[in-house]
Amino acid sequence: MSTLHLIFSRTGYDACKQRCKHDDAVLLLQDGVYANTAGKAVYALESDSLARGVHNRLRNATFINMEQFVELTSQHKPVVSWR
Amino acid sequence: MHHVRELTMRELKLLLLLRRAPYDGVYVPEALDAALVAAAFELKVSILLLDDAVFGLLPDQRADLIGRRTVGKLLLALPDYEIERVYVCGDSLSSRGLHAGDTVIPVQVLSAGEQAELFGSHDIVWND
Repeated sequence: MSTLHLIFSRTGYDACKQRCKHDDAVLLLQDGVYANTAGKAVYALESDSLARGVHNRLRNATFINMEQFVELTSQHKPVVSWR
Repeated sequence: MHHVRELTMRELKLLLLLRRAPYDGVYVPEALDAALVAAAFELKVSILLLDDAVFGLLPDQRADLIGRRTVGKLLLALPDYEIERVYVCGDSLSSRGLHAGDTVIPVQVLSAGEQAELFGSHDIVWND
């Protein structure tokens, strides 16, 4: 199983990006949706992205809901939080 | 019960990821306490220090002067709890003018790529 990185802020993303492998999954949530992920394939929590008005700016993101978030956590190990 | 035993026998590997400055609230000492408890329950615990958390490795901290627990001393006690694998981000050290030789306990310096591998070799990752 590959690692799932949960990104809670812009600084969290900056700390994570040099330390994640190609097959790792990255999910933006809460203020993590503000992260500049330019060109990187990431997941983003749809509700948090819509709430903050950044939905259209996250061009390479796959938007997921809470149920899919749960599914994602069950498909990866370990889960690493970057606040 | 059988299930619990099975998990224990497989020896779960826990990585404690510390990123906060040592006296930014009580996050770091609290996280270290949690790691000691995990080690007491026979999880195989390692610690990775990144960003401002590396300041916790400075010798000669005197947190009693600010009414706090000295993080350097907490780190010194880790081997007593069989936590012997303490890793540190080389870039975080050097960008703060610190060197692995100056640290209060022996640490293993890792590159960003090695840190990525480290996550993959653990079952659980906890944060400060």
